[in-house]
Amino acid sequence: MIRTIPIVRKLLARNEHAASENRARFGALGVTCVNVLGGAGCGKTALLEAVLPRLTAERRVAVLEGDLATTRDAERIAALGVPTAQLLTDGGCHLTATHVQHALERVPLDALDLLIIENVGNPICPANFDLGEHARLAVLSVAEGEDKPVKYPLLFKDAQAVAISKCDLLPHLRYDLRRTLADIRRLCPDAAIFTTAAPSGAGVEPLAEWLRRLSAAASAPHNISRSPATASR
Amino acid sequence: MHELSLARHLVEIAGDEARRAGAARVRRVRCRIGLLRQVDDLLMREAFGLAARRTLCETAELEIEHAPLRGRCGGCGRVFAMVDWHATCPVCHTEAERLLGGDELDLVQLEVETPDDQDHPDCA
Ligand SMILES: Nc1nc2c(ncn2[C@@H]2O[C@H](COP(=O)(O)OP(=O)(O)O)[C@@H](O)[C@H]2O)c(=O)[nH]1
Ligand SMILES: [Mg+2]
Ligand SMILES: [Zn+2]
Repeated sequence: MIRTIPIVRKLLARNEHAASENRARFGALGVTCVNVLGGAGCGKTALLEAVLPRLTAERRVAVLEGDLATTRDAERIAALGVPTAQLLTDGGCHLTATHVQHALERVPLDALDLLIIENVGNPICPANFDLGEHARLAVLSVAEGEDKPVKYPLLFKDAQAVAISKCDLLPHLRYDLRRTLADIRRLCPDAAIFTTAAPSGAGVEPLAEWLRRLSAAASAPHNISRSPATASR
Repeated sequence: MHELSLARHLVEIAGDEARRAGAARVRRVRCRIGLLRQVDDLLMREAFGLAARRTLCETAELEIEHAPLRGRCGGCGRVFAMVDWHATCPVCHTEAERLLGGDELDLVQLEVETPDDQDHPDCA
């Protein structure tokens, strides 16, 4: 006999379940988790290298480094004296909540205020997978071209913050920053937007301040939600 | 690409639902995918075929329903379907200030084959 069954089930239900377990664990320990996403080479690690020294005096921070292969990024972060664990996806193009679940055993979670996850460099796939983070920081470098918000919309849709990186290169490019900003605004009207340049450190302090506020908010009530409203406060 | 990963998840939850319904085989799987997910139909079908091997979905046909992107007009607040990124409000011709939807990723329907005795347990 043939039957038609109407259902509505989220395709990524299993990942979302693991993500909510992660989020509950972070909440119980007062840890704020930030998922950093963006294309390969957009400057995620450089931005972390610039921002972490501004945080470590007041916040206990650790970093999970997602990568296809090699531990170079993790070594760059560890060189700053920040506890780091490398997650190798073995060719997989994104991290899942389960990857993170396993990696949590390798950071001192109960002695942290802020856990930063650098996702695998890929502007499309990682955006589909909730890791249990409280906020997403999307990174887009000006070197990638001004049309990218349109091409990678999901990267921005659920972001609470956006860093437009490598702004020191703007004088060398034909780039309409206002167009990029307008396109990003339509995708995530409530996100905080930072324009940064890692070599000079320009724009890094506002990002550091955003991270400080985010982690302070979480450790107080223990139940920060991943809503856009959280970041705009 | 993420199609393979999405297809694996789809086959897994379709299998769960089919088993719950006592199905012997899944004939059709219908999913709804929003435009923002940037899923390529051709790649998704191929990926589904691979992921479905040796599962209840092995011979199932995949139907993909596309969920549109909508925009809320920055002028009059109307919500309109966006055919492309720079679509403007059909009434006041203003650009959308906020995008709605487009991130759907759901299993919405299954067509399954159940053994006849299952439906008439008394006759079994
Ligand atoms: N000029 C300039 N180069 C940068 C900046 N941030 C990163 N880079 C360079 O871009 C390349 C990739 O940076 P990396 O941080 O490894 O990118 P990731 O793959 O996103 O982690 C490296 O050569 C960096 O030196 C920046 O703000 N300005
Ligand atoms: Mg990196
Ligand atoms: Zn209008």
